[in-house]
Amino acid sequence: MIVQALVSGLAIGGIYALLAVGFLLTYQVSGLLNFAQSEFVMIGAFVASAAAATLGLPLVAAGVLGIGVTAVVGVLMERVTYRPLRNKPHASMIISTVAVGIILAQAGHLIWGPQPRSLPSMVPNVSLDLFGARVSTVSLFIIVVAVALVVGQHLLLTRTRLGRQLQATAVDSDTAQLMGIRTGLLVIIAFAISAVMAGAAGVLVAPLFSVTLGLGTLIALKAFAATVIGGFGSLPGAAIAAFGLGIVEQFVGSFIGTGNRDLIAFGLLLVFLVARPQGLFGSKVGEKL
Amino acid sequence: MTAISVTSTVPRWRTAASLLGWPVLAALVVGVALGIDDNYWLQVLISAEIMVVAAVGLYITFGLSGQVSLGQAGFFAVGGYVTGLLVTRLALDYGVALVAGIVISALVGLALGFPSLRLRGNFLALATLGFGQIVALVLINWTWLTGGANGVRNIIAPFFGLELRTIPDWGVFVGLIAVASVFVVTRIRSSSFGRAMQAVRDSEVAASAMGISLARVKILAFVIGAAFAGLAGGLNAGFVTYVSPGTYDLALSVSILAMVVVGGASSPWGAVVGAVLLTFLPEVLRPVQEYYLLIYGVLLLLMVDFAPGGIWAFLRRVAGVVIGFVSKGARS
Repeated sequence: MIVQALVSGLAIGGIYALLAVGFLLTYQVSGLLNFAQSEFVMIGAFVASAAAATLGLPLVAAGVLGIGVTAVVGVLMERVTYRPLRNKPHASMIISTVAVGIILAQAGHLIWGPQPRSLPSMVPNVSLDLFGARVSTVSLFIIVVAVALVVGQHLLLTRTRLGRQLQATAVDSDTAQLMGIRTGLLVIIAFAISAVMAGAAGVLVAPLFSVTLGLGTLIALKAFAATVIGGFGSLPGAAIAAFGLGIVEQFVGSFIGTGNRDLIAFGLLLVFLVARPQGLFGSKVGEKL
Repeated sequence: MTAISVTSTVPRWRTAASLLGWPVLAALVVGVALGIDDNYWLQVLISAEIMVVAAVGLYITFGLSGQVSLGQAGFFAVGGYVTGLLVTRLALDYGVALVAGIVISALVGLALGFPSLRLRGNFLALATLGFGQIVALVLINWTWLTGGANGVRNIIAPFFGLELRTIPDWGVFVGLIAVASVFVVTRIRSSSFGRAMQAVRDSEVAASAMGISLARVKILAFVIGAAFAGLAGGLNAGFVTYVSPGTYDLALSVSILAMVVVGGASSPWGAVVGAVLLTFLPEVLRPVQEYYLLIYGVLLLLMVDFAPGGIWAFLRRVAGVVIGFVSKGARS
């Protein structure tokens, strides 16, 4: 029971983590809170499901296509939200991302209709015996891929030239530009990476539930909560908080009851904001510095 | 020695207009409520007036004080549910229940105002979003209190003994409350507290150096926004006679914020324009059926992209250009 809860918790936590690090990357590089991320999850899952069902693509190819389409949508989104509004009040930017979210959700509704679809996992669903507990390969696959992507993004940011440029843009966009960094391009790259993370989350999470238009809504909101719990400035902190949140939710669901499970994320969010606004791992709090 | 003029530089016609304007506006709203024969459009108008109440409240919190809130649906829900539960369970008068809804909503705003002291901008947006989600989940899960997914039904009671039966009755009632709300908000704006709020919005450091208590101003901004949202929620509960959890989600919080942003956060009239526009827009788009939300999203995006200061500011600029052009023409 404990092992099962742990594995399912890590799996759903991995989904939260993918969204949390993507959300935070866009925020740090561009200052934009992307409220359309939940729709990125939906698009990744729907495109993959449609590609597998109608085009008959193999599941891996369908998944990659879903993630690719989401990345293109992410890049297009930069054009209509960040680019025209970058020096404007942040509330205008928030509303612009919400408007994009409405457009994407409705486009999804018109293209794919209200019927839920299914997307099988890329790995066969087998129950494995792990320390005397039965755990599903689907959950293990989610954990492995999510950890790989989150660690991959971390390495990209810390070990590569592109990553250092992204970090410089996040710290001080004007100075970075003076140093010859093409900050405009880097914002687009940050949007693309973020969309890839969200699209991957959609492709991964879809086999656990069915593919619906509201697939990403609650997941994305909980990922926002995880970014605050982890400390808003810290990408690794957000990822750890996201995994932790998934585990706490599963344990509460398994041992206490599922009734108020969805309240945990937002309750913790408010508790942290009041008691420890710098989060678990953050050091400073306030506006983007 | 030149005497320093202590009288304001506002032209005389504007002073007269501000005195006469409110009764005229109230009469206009009553006239429209009694004059529209089509009940469907009258209902849309009443919904728009309810949203005006919520939006001008958020104008105080956001436009005047600079505190972003993505949790107004939570206050709206508190107002609606408190009103609904007091009317149905305790058989209280609708007016008493409405006042209780406003008070409790304001108290919740007071509680949420404290974390807002430490947070600014986007952090605050996320915190208030979390609050809104908690309220939405509580409405669904705490069935013993809120009736769960069924909500609270049959919220029908007289307002301080006055029966509000027909839709035109409600049109007059809600219209007058909406005008009164805008009036109160414009008075708050030009009061010393309103100026303190603007100072805090523009520069916290400068404001606190001038002796303004940041804590008091920010919390008050939240409480006022919450009270108006609670009033709007209570009005909505009485008008549609039921409350159910699905209405009070993030989409409602976002649309209230969108009303202030799209209309123009620099003036309460911007919030009024935004509330009316964004309530009527989906109704006007109804004939295109399944495309209407898509078009709504596109229009919302276009309005934010091309008039980030809001439609009210945009209209004022256009009016300024036209007046400048006309007066130049008159002089030459």
